[in-house]
Amino acid sequence: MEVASGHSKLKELENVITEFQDQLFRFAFFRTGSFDDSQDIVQEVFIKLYHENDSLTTVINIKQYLYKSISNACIDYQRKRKNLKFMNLEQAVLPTDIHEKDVSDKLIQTEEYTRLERLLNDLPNEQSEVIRLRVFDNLSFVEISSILEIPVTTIKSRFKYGIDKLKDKITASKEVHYGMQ
Amino acid sequence: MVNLFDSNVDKKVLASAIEHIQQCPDCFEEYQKTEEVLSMLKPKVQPNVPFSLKQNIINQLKMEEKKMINFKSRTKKILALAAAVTIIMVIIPFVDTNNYFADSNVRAANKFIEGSIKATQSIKSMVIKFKVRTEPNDNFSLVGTEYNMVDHTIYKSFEAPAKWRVDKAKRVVVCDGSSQYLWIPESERALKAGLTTNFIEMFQIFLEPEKILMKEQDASQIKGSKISINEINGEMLMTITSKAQGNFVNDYCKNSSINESDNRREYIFDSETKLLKSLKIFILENNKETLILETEKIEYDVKIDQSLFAITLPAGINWKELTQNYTSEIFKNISSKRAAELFFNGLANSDWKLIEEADDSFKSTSKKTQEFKQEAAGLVVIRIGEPFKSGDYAGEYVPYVIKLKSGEVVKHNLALRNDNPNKVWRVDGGI
Repeated sequence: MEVASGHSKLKELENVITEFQDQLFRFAFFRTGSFDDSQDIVQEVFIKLYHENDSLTTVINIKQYLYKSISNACIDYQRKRKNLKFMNLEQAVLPTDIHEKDVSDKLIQTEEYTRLERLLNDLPNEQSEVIRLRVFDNLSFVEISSILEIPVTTIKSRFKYGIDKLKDKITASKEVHYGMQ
Repeated sequence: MVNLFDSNVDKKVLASAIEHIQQCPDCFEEYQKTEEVLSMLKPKVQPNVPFSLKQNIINQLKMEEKKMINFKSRTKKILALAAAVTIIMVIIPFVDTNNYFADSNVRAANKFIEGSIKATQSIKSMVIKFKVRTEPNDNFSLVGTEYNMVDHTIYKSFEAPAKWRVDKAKRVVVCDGSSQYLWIPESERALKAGLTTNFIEMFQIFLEPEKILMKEQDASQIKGSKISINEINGEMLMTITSKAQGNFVNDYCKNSSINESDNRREYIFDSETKLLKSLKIFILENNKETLILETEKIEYDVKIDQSLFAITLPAGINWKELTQNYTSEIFKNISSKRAAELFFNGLANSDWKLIEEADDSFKSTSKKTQEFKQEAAGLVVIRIGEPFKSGDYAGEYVPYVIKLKSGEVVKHNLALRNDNPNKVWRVDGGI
């Protein structure tokens, strides 16, 4: 087995972090709604990757590995916080040391998280998760299938049923809206 | 239909599906509705990954590895009864001041800093050569990732009365033990002031190394600041990451000084003497680090030519005493916007007496000032905008658009401040 030296393995990890940190952080954020928890989750995933592999270049399909790890970490997180479906803006109070521009950006991002969660809230978890992976993370159905370890046909049907329910929800909301005019 | 919404849909499948959709109204409607839903689901904003994330991970892993080396070294030492452990004494990971673990590390950091403060207090002289990304002719505090590195030198004699000199490419400040002198050759500006005046802005802290450490000691206790201290091969590396300080509702001043930027400061101290060996400061912007300040050489207890602590002015130029006792009645009890209007009207009408009430530099008889007066006279004010505050600047910025006689249109922000005893608005920059 190829074993990288500590220094070169760290270099390898730096490259992997540079390539995947944005998408993994977004992934975690759109599951947790928390900047701090997302950062912790992503850090833990990279550290686990480093410890569990002698050389990062030999990891087969590192993208799938990372997404699977972060998906599991987010599921664990949700389990721990299952009674808190949404993080509202009061809960999202930010550390006082962050300046106002950061606060403003983070509030906007948290509002966007809340908006999307409200849209997906009525769907069964297995459908909403496929939609998140496809739309938020821009993963293909085949990639989603390998991360969730479910046949591609099942992934597609979950996506379709989820989208159909959202269409109905949007149509219904439009009817209510028009009815008020 | 669902295949159409895959990220890597086969081109042939896509082409035939589109052909069908264009001919089938039901499928077309279905397709449009799905597109509408997907468009609603697309995040309109994306969270920014914290700039410290990568560094945190790497630091944590390095720390773990060093702990392992330390453990192995100790084991070997016991078994062999030898005494050669050369590395790894103190490892302090990034600190989150919220928890008990972090608090203990802050205390350890403070202990180290206190030791270094004591060592610094015994030195007699110091010369620091360093480079800063800045404009050669601008204020000492100005930095920016877009600028080139500019050479700076600080000379300090600690023996009473303390004397010092700070050289930047196109300005110099000297303290002879009783007064401070600022000399800007380009504009022939020569100002004299008392010991408490802050001509050198952020470099004030560099003059007294023990204050650098005290400042960082304080910074390490501010919530959100992160500090790591790590001793390797006779050197103590202290890294502090801080957030920009100030008001950034308007981010005009963001990253224009070290204090107003998200930054990382890397200090290296000699473990034995506990004196500062080097400093690097990085600005962290858009997930990118840019080196903004770097020491080239720090020497202690070296002989300094005493003539450096005096400036000889060219013939015809005299020191002008800096005062805060401004007496203008015109630039008092008005808004900064009104002060800007008066100032630009003064320039338009060549009313130099009025202008001098807000800006002393117009009293100068230097060639540069006369040229500027000629250029500015007769300007047309196109617009004066609403004032705003930014960063940690004590005054306000007033946006303006003017047209010079030459036809050139200038759009900028006039910096005005009235934090003087009589609350008189003074033009502080931006022209």
